[in-house]
Amino acid sequence: MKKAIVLDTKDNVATLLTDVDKNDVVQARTGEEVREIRVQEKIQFGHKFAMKIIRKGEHVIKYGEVIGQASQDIDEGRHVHVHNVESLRGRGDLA
Amino acid sequence: MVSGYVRPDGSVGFRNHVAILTSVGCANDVANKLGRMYPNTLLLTHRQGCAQLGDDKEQSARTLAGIGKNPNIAAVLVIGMGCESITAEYLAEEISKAKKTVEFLDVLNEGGLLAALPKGARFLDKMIQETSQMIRVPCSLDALTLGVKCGLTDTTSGMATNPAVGLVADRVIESGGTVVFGETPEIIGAEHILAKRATTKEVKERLYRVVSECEERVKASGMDIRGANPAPGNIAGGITTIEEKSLGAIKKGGGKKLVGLIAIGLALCIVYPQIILWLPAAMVK
Repeated sequence: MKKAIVLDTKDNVATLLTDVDKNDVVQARTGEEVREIRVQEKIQFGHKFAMKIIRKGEHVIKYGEVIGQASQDIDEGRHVHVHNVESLRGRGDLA
Repeated sequence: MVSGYVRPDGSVGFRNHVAILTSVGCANDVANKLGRMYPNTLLLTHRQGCAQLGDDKEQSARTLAGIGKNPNIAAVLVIGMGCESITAEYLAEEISKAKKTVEFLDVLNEGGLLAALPKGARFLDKMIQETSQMIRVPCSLDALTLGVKCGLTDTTSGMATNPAVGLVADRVIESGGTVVFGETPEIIGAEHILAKRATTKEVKERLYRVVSECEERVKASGMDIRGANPAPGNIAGGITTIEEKSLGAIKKGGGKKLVGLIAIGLALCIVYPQIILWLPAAMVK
């Protein structure tokens, strides 16, 4: 069974503990609680996928904290990374 | 229970190096040659020491002296040219405050490379003989200052390696030791978590100020920090933003109280209470 870890109950992303292929069902564990989610694309070990839909502009939460915001709508099971998440810090390009 | 080398100033080292330290980059060549003659010495060369002014010079001088004073170094030979901003004599005098064996030589004053080499060799020979007789004695973790450092972050860092290191950090502190960790850019996005652990309002405010200054410098460049930090290797490993990197990074410092921030090259707060707001290390106790 493919696994992912969720670091805090407030998180909306899970981090993969193995490579996954499109349509794989992943067990995402938050402490004692396990939820099964089908990933919608091939994603690498150590990368994140959305546990639920994250709308454009919404915060991406990991470790119970804001790690960035979605730059486009991200469906449940989609890869969450630099192509659809913007950082809110160190943005000299916005200054 | 650990064992270490008790130094004349009471500090404890966990290595017993004889070091060759240059006071200026131009002396590196002599240092390198001596290092080849004595391959078991710790060769410390760099590109500072000349044409430096003000705070920049002070920071370099302080850092070099601090390296010489490190308890892991049993004896030091400082080599300068004799014409530089940060002289070998100055560094040797600073390092001697730690009461360890220090010698220095200036290549130009000796008459050049061929005169400096035998003099340096004689100093090193004597230091090696002296230090080879030193033995470790049992000591407890309260003698330890543990420095923890980032080295190639990916998503496993924040989930496994850093929390594991953080547990060690907590253990060292519980035993009375000290932990130092740093890299200011890797606190951006996680500073509020560290701030909650600050022992005083002053430490908290300084932390916020220092992180904010770091971020302002990035913004002034007109660039997005991403690509520099997180670096391409971090991104390939799954780290998406600096916030995500920082939240995982701070875990390596454990969960204990934060007692201070120190700039590069400053000895831990006891001796130097002033704090300069450069890229500081954060000291956790």
